[in-house]
This record gives sequence, C-alpha cells and structure tokens, in this order.
Amino acid sequence: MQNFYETLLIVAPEADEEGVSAVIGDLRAAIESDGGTVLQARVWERRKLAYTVKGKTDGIYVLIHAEGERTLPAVLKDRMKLDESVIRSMVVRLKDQQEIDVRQEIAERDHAGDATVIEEQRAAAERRHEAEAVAAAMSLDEIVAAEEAEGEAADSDDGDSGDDVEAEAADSDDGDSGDDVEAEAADSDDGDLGDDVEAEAADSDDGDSGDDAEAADGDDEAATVEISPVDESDDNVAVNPGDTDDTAADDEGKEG
Amino acid sequence: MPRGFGGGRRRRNKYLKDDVLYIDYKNVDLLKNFILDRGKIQPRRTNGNSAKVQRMLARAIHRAREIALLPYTTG
Repeated sequence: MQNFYETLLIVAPEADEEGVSAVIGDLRAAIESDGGTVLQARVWERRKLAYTVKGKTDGIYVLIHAEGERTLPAVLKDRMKLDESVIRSMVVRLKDQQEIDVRQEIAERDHAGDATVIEEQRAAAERRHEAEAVAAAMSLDEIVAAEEAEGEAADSDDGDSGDDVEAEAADSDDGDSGDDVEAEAADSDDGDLGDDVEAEAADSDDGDSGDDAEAADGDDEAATVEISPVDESDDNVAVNPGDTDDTAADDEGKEG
Repeated sequence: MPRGFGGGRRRRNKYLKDDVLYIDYKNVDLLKNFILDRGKIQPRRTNGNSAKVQRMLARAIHRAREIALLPYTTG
C-alpha cells in the first residue's frame, strides 16, 4: 500500500541554488528507485533556526511530498544522512484530512496538472468547507449551552444564599485594559435568592480588578457586584496571579 | 468556584476550535501561541484546549522542535 509522506529537511545555508537542486534531484532519484512518486519537491522557506544545528543558525528548508511504500522513509533518511549539506531532516506520514488538504494544495500549485483533477479536488474541498462551517456553528451553540449549564451547576453545589461570584483572572498578557470587569448575570428565574454572576477579571494583578462589574441582565436586582479577590478567594472566588510560575513548575515535573 | 490547584484561570481557546482535524507542525505562528516564554508547552488547563486538540498540538510542537522550527528551551 502506498502512503503519503512529507519530508522536511534543512539544507546548510551556504548552499546555492544549484546545491539545493542537487539535493532535491538526489532525493527524487532515491524516491523513484524505491518505487515512489514525487508529487512536489521545492524550497519551502529560508529561515532562522530555533536553535543551532551543526553550528548553523539558519537554513534552507526543503519540502518534499511523495507517495511510496513504507520502506520509503528509511530510504530517504539513509540518503539524507549521507548528504553533508543536509543538516537536519524529518519524514512524516500524512493521512486523512491533512493528506487531502496537502494534495489539494499541490494540485492548485501545479497548474500544469490535469485540469479536471484540480476541479474535482476543489469541489471536494468546498464540500468539506461547508461541512466545517456547519460544524463550527454547532460548536458555538454548544459552547453557549455549556456556559449556561456551568452557571446552573454553580448554583446547585453551593448552598450559599449570598452572591456567588466566579471570577476568572486572565493572563496578564491578554491585552485587555485592567479595570473593566465584565459580568454575566445568569438567569434570574432560577429561584435562587442571590444573583449569580460569572465575572472575568481582566487583570489579576491590578489591585482594583473587582470594583466595577457590569451586569449583562439589566433588570436584575444587583447590577453591581462586589468582587474582592482578597477576601473571598478561599470560598468562591478563585483568582490566580502569576500565570507562568505555577505552570512552569508543573511542566518541570513532566519534562524532567 | 474553586477549581482545585491553580483553578479559575481556564479560558477558552482563542486560536483553535475543538473540531480541528489536524494541526500542521509547520504552522509556526499558530504553535507559538501555545508555548510559554521558556519554550514549554502551555498546559491545557490554561488554554482550555480539549484533550484531543491538546494531543494534536503537543505532537505538532514536538515535531516542530525536531526540525528546529521551535526551540526546545529558551534562555
């Protein structure tokens, strides 16, 4: 069975155009001698490397898409290892939707190809796109439904007759100006004595985050809700400053 | 509401829908949104990703690191 493989390799930055096409030609020959077909082989980008590889700080990325038997990745890797100008390489098998998308992209790029094939793939892509749009709309509804459910859940497991305030402190990097607090008043018909408000504090480390709250529901009795992160933090307000600190601590445990 | 350790900071993902089908490891601009300053993968409790999306994301980030598109660590 033929699989669809994507190869991304870094050619040393000193290589000129000729050197790069020599590498590509070499790999092309390797793929074909293994019984595969090259669908696309081109320079993807010349860019800075995220870290130095074999003493190089930037490189020429070459992207190759090919069909082949499962022996192909090994063949490619062997060949690239022998080539001194290839400083890093990776072969990845693409499947399902990603394979379809890449094939489509190649077909569009390759205008010399069969026009009917391109048209077929475009039609398929459009159908997919519509399906995705429907799915996206649905998932938005689901989010709203989930939010409402969350609000109700907050009522039930909290016997408090007072105001339940749920504050979410966002990261400090989210660009919001710190002083505004948006509060969503939950349904007022839930029979609860207090008003349920889900507030998102934009900035946790400005001291006055909780002072102004806008209730979304105008006819709700309590238009303003006091949110004081300091006092209520242990029962119903969970405010967490210092985003990177504790997440980093957590990750260290995982990644050693 | 208390949400256990470090709770309350959950927020919905700004960049990825829950129904994405794949995440391309070459899409560096997208992936950069999900790594911390030090190059670590952001935990999903912070970014609100679904488990499925987070798996795809982690795979993409690991691949991107392998081919020097993203750092393993910074600074």
